[in-house]
Amino acid sequence: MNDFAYVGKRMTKPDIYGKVTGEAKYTDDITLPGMVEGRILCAPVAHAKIVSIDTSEAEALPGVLCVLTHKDCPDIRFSRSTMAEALPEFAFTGERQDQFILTDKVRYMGDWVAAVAAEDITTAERALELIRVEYEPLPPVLDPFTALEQGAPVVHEDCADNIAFEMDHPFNCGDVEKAFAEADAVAEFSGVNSRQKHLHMETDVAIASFESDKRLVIYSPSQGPHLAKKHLTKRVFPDLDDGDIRWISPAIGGGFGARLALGVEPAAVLLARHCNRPVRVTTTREEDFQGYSSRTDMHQTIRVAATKEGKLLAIDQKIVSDSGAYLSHSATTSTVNMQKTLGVLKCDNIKGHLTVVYTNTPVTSGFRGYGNPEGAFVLQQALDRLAEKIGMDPMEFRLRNLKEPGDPSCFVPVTLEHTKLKECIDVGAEKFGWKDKWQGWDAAKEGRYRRGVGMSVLTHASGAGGFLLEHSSCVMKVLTDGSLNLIVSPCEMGQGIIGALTQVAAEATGLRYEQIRISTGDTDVTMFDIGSHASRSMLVIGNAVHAAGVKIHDQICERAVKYFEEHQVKLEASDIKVRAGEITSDKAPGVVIDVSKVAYDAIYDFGEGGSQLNASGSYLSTSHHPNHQAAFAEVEVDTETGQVTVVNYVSAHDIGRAINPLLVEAQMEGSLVQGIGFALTEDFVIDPETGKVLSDSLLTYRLPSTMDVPPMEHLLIEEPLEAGPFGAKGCGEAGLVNPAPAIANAIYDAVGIRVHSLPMSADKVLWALKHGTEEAPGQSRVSGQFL
Amino acid sequence: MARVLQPFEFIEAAGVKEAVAALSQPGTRLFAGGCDLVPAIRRGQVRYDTLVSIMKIEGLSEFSSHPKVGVKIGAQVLLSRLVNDIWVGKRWAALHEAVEQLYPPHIRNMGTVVGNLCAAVNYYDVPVSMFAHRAVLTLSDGTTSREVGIDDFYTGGRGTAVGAGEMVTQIDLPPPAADAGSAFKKIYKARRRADDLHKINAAAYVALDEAKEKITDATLVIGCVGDSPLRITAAESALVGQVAGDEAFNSAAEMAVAAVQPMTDAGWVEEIRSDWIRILARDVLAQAASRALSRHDPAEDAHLAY
Repeated sequence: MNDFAYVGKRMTKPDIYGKVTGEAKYTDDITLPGMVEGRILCAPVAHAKIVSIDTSEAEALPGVLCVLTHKDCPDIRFSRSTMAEALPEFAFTGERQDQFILTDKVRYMGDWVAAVAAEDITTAERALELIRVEYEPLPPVLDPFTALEQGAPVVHEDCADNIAFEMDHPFNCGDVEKAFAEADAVAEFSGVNSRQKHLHMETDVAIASFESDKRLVIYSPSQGPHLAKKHLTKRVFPDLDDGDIRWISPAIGGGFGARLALGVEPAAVLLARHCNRPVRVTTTREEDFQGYSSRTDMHQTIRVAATKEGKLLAIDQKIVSDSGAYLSHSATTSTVNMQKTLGVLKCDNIKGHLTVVYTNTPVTSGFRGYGNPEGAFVLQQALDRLAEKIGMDPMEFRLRNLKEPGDPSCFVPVTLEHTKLKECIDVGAEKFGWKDKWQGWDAAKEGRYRRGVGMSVLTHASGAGGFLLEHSSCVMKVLTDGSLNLIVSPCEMGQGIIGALTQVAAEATGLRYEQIRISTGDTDVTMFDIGSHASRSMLVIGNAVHAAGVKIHDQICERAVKYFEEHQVKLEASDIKVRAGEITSDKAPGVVIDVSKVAYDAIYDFGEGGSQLNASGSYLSTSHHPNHQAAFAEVEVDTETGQVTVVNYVSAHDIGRAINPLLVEAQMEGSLVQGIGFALTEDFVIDPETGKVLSDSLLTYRLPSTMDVPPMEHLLIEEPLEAGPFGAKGCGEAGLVNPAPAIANAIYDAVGIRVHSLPMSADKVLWALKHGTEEAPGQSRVSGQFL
Repeated sequence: MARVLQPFEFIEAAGVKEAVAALSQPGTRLFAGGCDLVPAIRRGQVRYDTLVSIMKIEGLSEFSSHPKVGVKIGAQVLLSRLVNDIWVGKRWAALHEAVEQLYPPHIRNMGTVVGNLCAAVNYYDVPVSMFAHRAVLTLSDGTTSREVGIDDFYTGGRGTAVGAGEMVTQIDLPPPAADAGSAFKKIYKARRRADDLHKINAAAYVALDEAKEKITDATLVIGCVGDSPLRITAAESALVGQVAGDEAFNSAAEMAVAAVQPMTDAGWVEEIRSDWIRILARDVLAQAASRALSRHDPAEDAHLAY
């Protein structure tokens, strides 16, 4: 048994009280003296030349401070994705910087044409209506395959073939064609995910304010403010330097990856510059749907080959990703799809090719899972098809191809050190009852409601050490009451990292959990860190906190020696331990010294020993330390309506060690719900003629409700990872990868059909049940809109 | 693309008379929960200078239910008020199911039952169940009132029978027969273009004779297939006198398919739609009959809900 005071305990996260009482301050709660309101005019057509913009009427409206258009913007293109700043040059070279703050030409319905600042938001809104824009409509291209055809409308003039990004799998290996030729069985699956929306509760918002010392202060809910700041200075406003900007991320109303891209911040800065007032730019939910960001829809074909004994021989993947009008994250998410998705099992021959295409549709972005859910939906079904061809239990097939420590890992070129995927499968299958429920490939199911089971496995990262800029630093100081100020820069967007880091800090320092206060979100205060994404915060930031915490612990022990002497005990610092605010030693039974005494005396020492207890800690990660998960789904398909209901779901996650099991389980539960939406209900629909987003409200874009959520169990497989803080790995994204493929495989088990596009809605399932999936009707190929 | 709301006058009327009098000013509209109205204003589809809230008018908050008397729903009653009502659950199960499955669920907490009907949106669920229960609406000008059956309430497009200077003050549902049951079901479809079908909903009411064998009364309603819910009257009259069973329900379901005008969309959407109309019609009839037989508590088979 571990003798941890806090690690592994189900602690209540300290920031929750402010969130549930409404005390937490979000960007929209902040009012600066003299602040005015900004709004952005969005284009009403999908593709058009802007012939002229007449802003005179809008400018004449009382209360309007400025109306800006493309000609007022810096003449420099940038990408909304801030990830470029965390990538080494070699990995970045292909990424296009392709948009202006306010556009020179309309490339999607919702593109930003003009911006207004006014004394109040209703005036700003009225001013938008008074801006006269003359558009010369151009034929839009709304489908990536059409965009690739000769003579297709061109989205970006400097990109005549509409190919925004193209690359081979970075770890192509072996001889794929030879492996396919020699294989006993070959299977293929193709499919496309829909553009799932992040739907963070707080829509995009930012405040920009130039202070009297010419410094720019930005308030915005960024997932990585240091990176965003760097990106803003390097790519958007090159006249500003890193030190000229102070970026404050207040409480964040959800992220899910959307806050890894710049949103309205550049527009807010531009307006603030022109009107010399602090400006807040606000967006509506409908604007969020029409223009802001979503998951990238990746049209994929994956071929797989195996021997009849069930050895996976080769994987061949082709991806055509629809980036939308600008590149943003779609090149990187599609690349991660190839790396993580294909890397889950052992395979010596891998080939992948990726084409990212511009279309006149809204911009897509990074989303929790970052390419992995998109890829797993296709790969895990291809694997099931392969298992069926060789007549093998799909779980057994996966078990026969597991990677072991020492095998090459997938995301970054390192060796796999730690995997508990086998245990995940074993424990999950036992809990789920796979042996009883899986009745073989030819099991006859009858009746109107048919049940089926399916499974899926995944590998995901805990950061991207060795690839991204994976280091983090923090500062700690101890106050006179033995409480701790921890200055660190994770982004708390609901996932609970503040709570988990508090537990790590309390355990490492020996101070009390209740007395640890975290300062975060302000780039002037916190040290450099690339933010919360890629399930990295727990491992990378957690290790930095651990490193600093151990130093504090040691300082307390050294200073505590003299207090034991008061009890007539002569000790070395190494004999002493600090735990939950109490200093004790095995060599001095019965003596308990409170840390507050040591902390107080350290500061209130008028002699030679005076110094506040303080420490900084840094950590550099050199691996992506993959976490793993196996998931099992049971569904019931109504064969007459096509409706699919998930009736049971079990996942087992290779977590290393759960710092707070409550938070890990909550991550799994939340991501399962998001995954069920991805699999079954969430349908982002773009009108194939106009490019308008039809599902532009929560009325028409159906999130799963509690009625859609099945009984579920999330098991944690704990064997500490040596490199993790107290052995922890990441867990933020993994849970969203498995639901869609596990549910899809379960549907096949129930009724013998596979739907090739997400969501697997009732009409698609019913059509496939009646006609098979070969001659899918209504094949527009646009954004998940074919069967 | 939706906008930030512009300021408007907001009047909290004290009486029906005051409310409907205010409506004579152009650019004025009644306001209850605002679930349909506010998004429409934000999208720029409608524009009003004055909204007249009916939520402070005395006497419009009545809600009562009794299996022998019926259900009374005043104009201020929120949808959420119905969800936990035991008699609505047991004896007006179609209404219960329609309200319980409302999406997104926040609408239950904001929206009124009357407002949901008056919005006259063709895919709303509650009106479909109201047709099955033969609701009667009371329209008042503050002095006199008149009753309009729900069959006559919708007048095409998004029009209703509410005249100038009138408002709906109450909905009444007649009591069901002793051995009667009802059911509501819906199913969503992925939408592909603006005017594409995105849902089918259906409701039915079935009353049985004393032997609980033959049907003595029935209603069958299909929604999302026209401007307003469609009663399948041919099926309703054909069901009366028949033994409540698959044969009767299947043929009623075929009549439902035949009664619905084809859409102008792609053939395959038509096919899915026809299938769903057939299946939902049969399912709600069978479910309603099963409840009539067993006086079944719908809460117990919530898992069967789509």
